[in-house]
Amino acid sequence: MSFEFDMIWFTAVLLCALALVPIIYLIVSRRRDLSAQQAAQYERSARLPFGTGENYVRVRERLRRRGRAAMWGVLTVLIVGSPVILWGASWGSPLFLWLISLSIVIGVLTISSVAETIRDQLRAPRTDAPRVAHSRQLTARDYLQPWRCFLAPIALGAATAGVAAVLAWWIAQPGRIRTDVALWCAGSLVFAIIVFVVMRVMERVVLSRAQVASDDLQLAWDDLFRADALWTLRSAATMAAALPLGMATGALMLAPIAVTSPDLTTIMSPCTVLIAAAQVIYSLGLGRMAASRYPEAFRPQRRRFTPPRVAVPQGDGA
Amino acid sequence: MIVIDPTSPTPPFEQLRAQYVAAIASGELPPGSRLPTVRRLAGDLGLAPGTVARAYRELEATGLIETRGRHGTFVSVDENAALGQIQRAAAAFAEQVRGLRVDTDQALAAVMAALKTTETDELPA
Repeated sequence: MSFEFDMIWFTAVLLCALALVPIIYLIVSRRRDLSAQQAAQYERSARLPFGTGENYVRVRERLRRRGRAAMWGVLTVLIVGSPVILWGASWGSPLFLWLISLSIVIGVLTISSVAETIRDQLRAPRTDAPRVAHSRQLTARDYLQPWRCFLAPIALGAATAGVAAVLAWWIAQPGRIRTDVALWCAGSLVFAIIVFVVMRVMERVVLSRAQVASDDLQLAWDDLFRADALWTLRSAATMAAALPLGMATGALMLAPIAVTSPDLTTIMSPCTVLIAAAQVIYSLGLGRMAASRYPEAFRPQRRRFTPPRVAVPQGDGA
Repeated sequence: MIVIDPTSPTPPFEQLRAQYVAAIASGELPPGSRLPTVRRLAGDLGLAPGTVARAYRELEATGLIETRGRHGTFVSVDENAALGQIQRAAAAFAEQVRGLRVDTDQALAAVMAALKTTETDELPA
């Protein structure tokens, strides 16, 4: 069998394996107890109590809806996009396919999270209940730690500088940098810039949405979901910037030392490391910034496990 | 935080105005803080945009907030805005006292009585 044929089979198996994840999730998430577990984990990580049973049900249902919407999105994109991915498998590399798959998954998760935040209000407005609002205009910096806010523009800036260096080198010494490498670097930079611009626009849309809340705790929960959506947007923009940054880094590091000019597959290796690093960095301390803006009284008490006292029977046999 | 109680006898615009005055006076909203847009705050609080706009206009008239074109509405950087307003009100009051030919001591006693009444009203029950 030819290499291309092997690649197509490999990709088909990979797609089936990827599709299994949303299918299993969609089946399992029909059970209410799973969403209850999710809600309990979310409460612990955010360090905000649910307060009322109504709030708990709303948060639990929203988490469930968000998860299911994301998984439906991933499944749909995998089914619709599989012909394109299989076509790409005939000439691409496993690394290249992995990057495409990852981009699809991240893209769908981002879109579904933002769409859920924009479309779905945590609670329905009541005319007779008091309404609470923030007294000042909040920005992304109020919801995310500064380093989390600045990572995306810094990564994009570094990517722009790196791609500019690659293009300059390609113009000066066409023999050392291949044309397809230079074009892929430039193309991925354009893609990253588009993602960044879209991210900023979506961020404004998310922040401009009205928050319906009757007390501080309800507003805090709404803020947490909002922080999640903003985190997803920033994370997607950083990972999009990691593509041209990784390619440019690979090209600039390998071109001077390689015997022949490095090809596309070789220069993509740093992308995987950068994207994985961005994923890990962004997942640290998620949601705590939004929660920390609220009074300490909101924090649930630390639950310590205390073993139940067992009454020892009084007898003379011991 | 701004809280609007629809069951309160105080009109919503007055609730909004009074809470912003208190937030600025207490330092919860420091000078330069950007306020939400009229439309956004109206959406959050379930009020008509005109109600929020009226509260903002009154706050702007007192010098507590300022509108910087399309950049938005901000808490005034001038920390003596409240003092300036008091001085303007005192000047107007003084003119009225002179116009009515009321004795200065009597006018001052009326002001002291009014202030004491307000203090008594603010005391917790």
